[in-house]
Amino acid sequence: MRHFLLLLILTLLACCGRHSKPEPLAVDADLAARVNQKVSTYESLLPAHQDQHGFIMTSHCDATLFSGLLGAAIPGSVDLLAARGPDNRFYRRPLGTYPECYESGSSKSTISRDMFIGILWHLWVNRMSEDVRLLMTNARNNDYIMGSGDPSRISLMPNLTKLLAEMDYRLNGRDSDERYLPTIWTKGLVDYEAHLQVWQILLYGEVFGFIDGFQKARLLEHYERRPDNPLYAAAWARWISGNWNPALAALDNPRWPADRLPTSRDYSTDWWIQRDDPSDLLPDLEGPEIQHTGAEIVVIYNLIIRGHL
Amino acid sequence: MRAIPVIVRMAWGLIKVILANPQYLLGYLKRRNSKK
Repeated sequence: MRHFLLLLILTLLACCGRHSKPEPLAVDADLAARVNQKVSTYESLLPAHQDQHGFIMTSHCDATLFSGLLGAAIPGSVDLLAARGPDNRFYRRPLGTYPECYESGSSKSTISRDMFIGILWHLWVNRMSEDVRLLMTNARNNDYIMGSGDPSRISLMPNLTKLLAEMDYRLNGRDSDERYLPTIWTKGLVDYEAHLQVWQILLYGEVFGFIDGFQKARLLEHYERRPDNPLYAAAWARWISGNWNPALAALDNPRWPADRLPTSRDYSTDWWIQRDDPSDLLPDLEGPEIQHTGAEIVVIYNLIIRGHL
Repeated sequence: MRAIPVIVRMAWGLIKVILANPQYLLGYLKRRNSKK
């Protein structure tokens, strides 16, 4: 029993430590230049996929997630508040421009925690302190229920609440009980859940300036599971290894062509980095050719890699 | 210790919204029972 307790305490000490960013290692200059050029090309072609608010992928009911990330990666390119209704709640797409997803039956709720990953990244990078204050106040006043519909989707859980409270503290100086919430980082997530977990851990790193041992373990898990995914490779480089070459090599993959935006002939589903199912990752050679936004490349490069090589 | 009131309010919020949307809880229980 005594040994078990000692082991438990040692494990907790090892996991709860603060992990700062590692020193960056030397990068392959040619590779870095090629990726930089590809990102510039994509940035110049992306506006063709943006609506009047700058939103992308608006045919889906996850537009606020992807558009929030894009607006963080290219400040000024997205008016994220177009997705905030007169009730000060955020929605899945700009209101008034598209049918509301819950009412029209396209989704089981007006908002989901996925959307808040994009929203929080956007608010933090663009230092929208008043909007952070409003969001935190609304969450508290509504018992952390952020919309209507399926209860499992619309309630803020401790991980996101703590992050929002810390943003409120750093941007507005407002201390709160929510800052002291415990967090849980679930092991074994795959597909879009893994993608969301990594973006959330990365934002924790940005806001707090460090990540803890549990978060580090999740980043390592996802990189080891899918080293070809540039998001996971970039997160691993940023917080674990300092070696950016695998992330740059993953971005250099011809799956994302250097001279044009990718299409369904390159891979079947938009936002490749959130998928694990081979049917989404492989080219669709039979259906109509659909052009993708390619925005995941810009978002990864600008938010995680740029300025850290 | 400071987080406890927040956790209680989160749980209360979730209970309120489940009571307002009982179809989700009933649907979940139905799916769970059909698996057994």
